[in-house]
Amino acid sequence: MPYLLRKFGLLLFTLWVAATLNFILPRLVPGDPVGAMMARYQGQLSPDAVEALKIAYGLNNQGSALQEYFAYLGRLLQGNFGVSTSQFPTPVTQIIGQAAPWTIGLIGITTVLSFLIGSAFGLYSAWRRGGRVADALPPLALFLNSMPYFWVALVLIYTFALKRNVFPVGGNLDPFLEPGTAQWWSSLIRHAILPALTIIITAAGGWLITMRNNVMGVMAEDYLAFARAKGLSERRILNRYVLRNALLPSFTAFGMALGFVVGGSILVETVFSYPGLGLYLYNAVTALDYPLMQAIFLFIAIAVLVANFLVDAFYVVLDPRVRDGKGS
Amino acid sequence: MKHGTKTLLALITAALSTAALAQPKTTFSIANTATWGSKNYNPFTPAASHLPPTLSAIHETLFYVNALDGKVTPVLGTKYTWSPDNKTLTISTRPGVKWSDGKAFSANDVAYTFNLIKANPALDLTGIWKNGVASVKATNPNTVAITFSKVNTPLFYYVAHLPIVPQHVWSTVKDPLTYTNENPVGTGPFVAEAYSQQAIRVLKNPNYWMKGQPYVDAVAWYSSTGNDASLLKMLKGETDYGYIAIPNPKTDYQAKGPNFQYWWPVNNVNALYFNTTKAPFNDPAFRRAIASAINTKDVAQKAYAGVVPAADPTAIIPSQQKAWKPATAASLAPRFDPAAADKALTAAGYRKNAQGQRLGKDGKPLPTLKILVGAGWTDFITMGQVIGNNLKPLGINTSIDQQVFSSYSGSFQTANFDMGVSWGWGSGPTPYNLYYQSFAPEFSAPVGKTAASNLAHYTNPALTKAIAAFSTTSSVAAQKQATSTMVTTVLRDMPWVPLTARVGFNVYNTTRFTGFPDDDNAYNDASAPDTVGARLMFLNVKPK
Repeated sequence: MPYLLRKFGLLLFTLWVAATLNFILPRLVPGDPVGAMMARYQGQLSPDAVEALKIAYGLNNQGSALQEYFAYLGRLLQGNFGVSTSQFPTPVTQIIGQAAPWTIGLIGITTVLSFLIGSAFGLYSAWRRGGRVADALPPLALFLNSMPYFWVALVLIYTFALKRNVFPVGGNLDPFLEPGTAQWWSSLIRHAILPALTIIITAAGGWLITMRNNVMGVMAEDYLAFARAKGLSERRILNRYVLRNALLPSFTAFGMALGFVVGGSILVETVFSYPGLGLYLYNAVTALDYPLMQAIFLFIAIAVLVANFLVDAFYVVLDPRVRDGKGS
Repeated sequence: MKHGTKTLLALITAALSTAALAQPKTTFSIANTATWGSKNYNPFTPAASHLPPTLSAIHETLFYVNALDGKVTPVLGTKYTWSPDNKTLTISTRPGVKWSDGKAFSANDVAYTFNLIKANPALDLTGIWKNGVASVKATNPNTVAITFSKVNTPLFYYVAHLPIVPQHVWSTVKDPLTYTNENPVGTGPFVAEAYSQQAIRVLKNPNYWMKGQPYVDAVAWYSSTGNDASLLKMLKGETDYGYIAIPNPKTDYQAKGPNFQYWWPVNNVNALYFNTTKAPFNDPAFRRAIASAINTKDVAQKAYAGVVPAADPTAIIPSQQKAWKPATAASLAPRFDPAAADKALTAAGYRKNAQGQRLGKDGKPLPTLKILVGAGWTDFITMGQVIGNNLKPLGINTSIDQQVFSSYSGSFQTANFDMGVSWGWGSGPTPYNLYYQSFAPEFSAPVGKTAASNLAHYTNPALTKAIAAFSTTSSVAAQKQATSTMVTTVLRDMPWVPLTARVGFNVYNTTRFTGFPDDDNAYNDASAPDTVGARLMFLNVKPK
């Protein structure tokens, strides 16, 4: 238990650091939100809008940076993230609520899928080492894994959306559909396929290599030789001894990856204009929408930290060495 | 049993026919180059915050003032007159107009709307109450009197374009600033219908005051994430209209067929701004010499491949030149002459050393001067490169400084740049708006503070006086006089060099519809599909 308590304390401390950085970083970008808005209108907005917008966004009298910081922390504790300036007057929490399901749905599912697919092939490639297919897999995986993400996305868009009209170029749904109907679902899936493929193609290779290395490590262990000598079936050895031990390191990385689901989605979502948190974060940064930016950053930080904490907690169950306090 | 089947059949028929009604017969489709936020039809929030149909289809204004030539089209107002002292503007409102909920519109709604933004300064995006309006009253059901505490006739542009909202709805709204007006009641030709992140649709208002118009049953906006995606929609013929900046509309769009057309009228300029708060740009002689070293024709040709012309040195757009360009401008305007520029620099105290480097007034070589542009904006980057090549023979080294949007605008506004390419941060029905917003002292700021729109951070008492003179008269002759002073002062001081024209980006397809605005029938200013002027296009496009 002290192990978990210590981890939890660390979690709280890191959260505070993240919240503070979150306050400072956006303010290091030159310019201010009202100025950015003036620029965006390219001469169409009267400069008198500056006064009006400052009142609207609550930027007219904020006090010193320190006062602003404590006011910010206080609001955070109440779960009040403020109102988005680029989508005024929508509360930031509402925007996140709208965008998060899309991100978690698309990126979450594909992260799990690429982990499962990659690990399965990794296991196969190590277990059947020497076979033609098994030996061809690692170089292929390395190749796919090192391809730039947006490049894969662009190639997919070009071949399947522009040259042949199989999949839509971007977006998440067709217009004017009733949510929940069969048409709606098929539209949703049609829109998700290309972004999902992009993630799986580039991410699965990494899991394959990791898993293959883990399995090879385990296969060299003495206890496997002993198990074989004992006459255990290959199936039993694979399931009970190899897989369980090899999964452990992969599992830590997987926990981290799940934490990064929120933040790792910016590129996919921008290329495919998929309306998730990543796209909103990108838009918030270009529009200097501090409240939205801060909320999404914090959301990412929390996701990563909580995922880490959960992995730590889960390790207690998985690995007896941690439970006994000998491992670190 | 038989009876039951009949009832069932009748029910199904009824259900089918309502379903058929729900699909409008003719839909005018727009490729929107951006995505939009949550459902918000509040016309007083900034344009990016409310949905595209808010100002262009649902809410109407008193008049529409065409920014190209200043022509005034009556909308909810039918006529306006200035009192002899220009302190009272009397507007007659249109009789017989109904709100989309069936209630009658009157001058009281107009007076209510003006007083609503007075009570909520955050809604007054065009500074109507800050710039001279003292009171707005309905003197009878069809007349509104607007009195001014200080004369400001150009404010008519903003008075004319204030969206009018119904008193009987908005008077019950608690906080009009955060109100999202999800079921908008307007007088416009369309009423709100469907909303999603992918598309927005508005349907024809059957009780619209203009008989027989609009000709289309619905207008739909389809969101996309940028120019390329929108252009693709236009090329596939999925949409009828888009406001899309594409590199070359002739080859990229018009060449695809006779129905693929574009109208890109000049509505503003791109200019090279000098940071007049720092040396050597604080010296008008230096700025003038630089101006005559820049070949603006070449800049326009290289940046826009002949699609967009070079700017007039006065920055006055072609459609306003006949009325507003002073005769003296031509003799004052800098002429491209590198040899003369070289001499002028030396004469002004910037000599060349033995290595051919240009020296500052302190005798040290000038540092490499940075030209600020937006990151990845190829047109501005090309302009910067041409300027750099023009300045090189003078012994002046330049580099291109690419910044992402927010720091690009921030660097200009806080005077943290050497020189930079940007558009005219102000436009309107006369050159006044451009000169006022670009050079008035109230839109400048000390270094490090954000200036609203005076990017050069340049002021001149003569210019400030001329701006004031223009705004305090309704006499066109006096305004022309003031414009002449503004233009000649700026031409002498050269806080900027107008480089190329800037255009509106109407891209359209005449396969399904006719009646688009163009050079022969410029009934709007190629207004983007979320602005006041676009309503005229929605009223005039006709199914074939």
